[in-house]
Amino acid sequence: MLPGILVGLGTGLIAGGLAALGGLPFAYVALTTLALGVPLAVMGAGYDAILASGRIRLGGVAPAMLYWIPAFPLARLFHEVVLDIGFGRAVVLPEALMSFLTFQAIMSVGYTIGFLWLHENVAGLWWLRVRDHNPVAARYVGQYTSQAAVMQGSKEQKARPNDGVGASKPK
Amino acid sequence: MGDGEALVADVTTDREERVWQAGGEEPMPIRELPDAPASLHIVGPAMVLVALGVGLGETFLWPRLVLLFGPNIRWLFLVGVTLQAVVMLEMARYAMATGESIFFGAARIARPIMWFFFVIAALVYIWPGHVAAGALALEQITGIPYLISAIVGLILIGAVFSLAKFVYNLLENLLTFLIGVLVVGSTIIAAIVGNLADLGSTFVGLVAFGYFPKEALTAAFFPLVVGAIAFAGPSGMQQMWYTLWLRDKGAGMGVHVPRIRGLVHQDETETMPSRGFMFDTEDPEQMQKWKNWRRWVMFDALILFWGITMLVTIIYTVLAQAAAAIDPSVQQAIRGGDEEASIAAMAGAFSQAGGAAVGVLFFLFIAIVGWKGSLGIFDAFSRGQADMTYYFIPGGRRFNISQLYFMYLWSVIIFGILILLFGPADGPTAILDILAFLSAFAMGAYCILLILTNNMLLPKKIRPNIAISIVLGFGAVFYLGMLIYSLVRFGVVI
Repeated sequence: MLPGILVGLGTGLIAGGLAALGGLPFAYVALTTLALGVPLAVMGAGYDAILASGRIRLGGVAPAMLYWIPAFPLARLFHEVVLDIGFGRAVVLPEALMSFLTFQAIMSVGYTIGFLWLHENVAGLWWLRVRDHNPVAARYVGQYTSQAAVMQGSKEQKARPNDGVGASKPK
Repeated sequence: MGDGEALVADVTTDREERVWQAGGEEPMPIRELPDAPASLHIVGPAMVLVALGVGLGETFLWPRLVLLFGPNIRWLFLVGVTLQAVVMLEMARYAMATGESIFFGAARIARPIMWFFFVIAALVYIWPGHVAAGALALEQITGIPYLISAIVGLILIGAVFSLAKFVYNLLENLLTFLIGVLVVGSTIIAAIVGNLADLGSTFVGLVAFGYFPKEALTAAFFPLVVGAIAFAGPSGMQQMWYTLWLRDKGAGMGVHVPRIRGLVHQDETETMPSRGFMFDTEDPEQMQKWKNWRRWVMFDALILFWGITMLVTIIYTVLAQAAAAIDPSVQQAIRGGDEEASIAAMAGAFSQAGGAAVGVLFFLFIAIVGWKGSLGIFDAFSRGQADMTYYFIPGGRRFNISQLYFMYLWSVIIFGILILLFGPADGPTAILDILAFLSAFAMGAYCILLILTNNMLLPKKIRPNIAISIVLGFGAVFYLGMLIYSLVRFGVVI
């Protein structure tokens, strides 16, 4: 579940980091980092759990999108509510809640692609480490390596050593 | 592997092996097409193309046009990116079928065509425009003079490639991480500051076909529009270099051609064949594998390339609209013609729209995409020039292709540093605009080249259908037409 958690936390850090660079108050920075990072990390872990159960395929864009379309708006709603509480405002759900959730649901498509993109990179490294005692990781490492064999490993094997050696130069 | 009687004359069988005679260069020996990978996770040279393609066009040039002319100008972007997806699939068709770069394909049609691209590349891509623009943005956030960070950035590019064992893998990992952060970061900020109404007008703008405000047809702005179209998705010759990445990655027949290695691992370099290969298109099993490869690249083109490019541009359009609604003075700043001020003005508007964080985000991403732009372009430029030098310049094969690659890479870095120190005082954005304008020329030319290579050099069974050739023809008219119109009507001198 670590890759999903890391990407979620990373997203919170990116948002918080940009807020900090932008000179926003410390409270805003801290609340944004946590209130976005934590729910996205929990939901990232949820994605990994479903992946591990074998219900969705590795790297599939459509299943990931179906997962994040409800999950991402919920995380954003949580973020807004925490900001309200943190700044001592009355907790009012964002005005025009449906419009807010619809917009966030559309933006979740973007988040899905970014999440998947980073997840595929983090996950590969992590699964490689834990594959000995984690059968799910071992399964995915197997998938990655068989693909890598097709894409790269076979290169050296398939190229004939004498191809082109001593061939006449193009005219 | 004949495609009927017409092919009998093309396919020759000598005592030792069967070959495919394509154009004027050495024939391609027939070899096995390997199995295509399952599209089970995000991988592929398209990632590098996307990472390069999503850059200053999406984050700077197009938001600038939206601020000037409104979101409806975006339909041109949709046309540009869709065309690029078709081009990408056709570049892949040639590279995966032969294991050759498109430059080699150009030489098979006629050597002067290849030399034309060799010269265009040298004219367009030796300028450190991307890294300079990125460094200028970094200066706004950190106060570090742009000259220093630009030069450090250039040296860093040379260093990372020289020390990497397999250059492509490093490039892929680095760009993958940067583009991932860019996508996630842009999405989260747009989700915080944007709203449904802005998103709605962005979508409407994408399909506002034919919208062209009168002001965009003026000498001041038309070249900007042309440049921005050239920067929609991968600009200039990036698509041509994509064929080199496909080869390096071992896609299709590229599996039979060795990879480029880092400078410190030169002794391990494998022997480079003197031309590409072809598979037996009469063998049903091979044709099934070919279909799988096409499916694999289709996934790359549609989901990764088209999807991500559109996504990033939609996000930045939403941001630009939020900015323009709050601070109309940005439009005045850009109209005033002060181009270098426009980056600052846009960042200021973004800040007002979504808090200071958005302004910083804009600067930061300009800095990142600027650096990665130069990183990817210098790598690809060196790859392309080394490829052409190795195969077609007399004496080129005294060196191996990796050595040639590094000669070009360090030459372009040293040249970049000299330009930054002593070059034209016009400033980085001026360099960038010239580059954008010249890009349109190369893009129109490679559309024509693709029609020729894929219809004349490939066996009939794997040629594109007529509709694709028509789209490519439209692409040539689209890019070259606008360029010529700009030259004739407004007398823009490149």
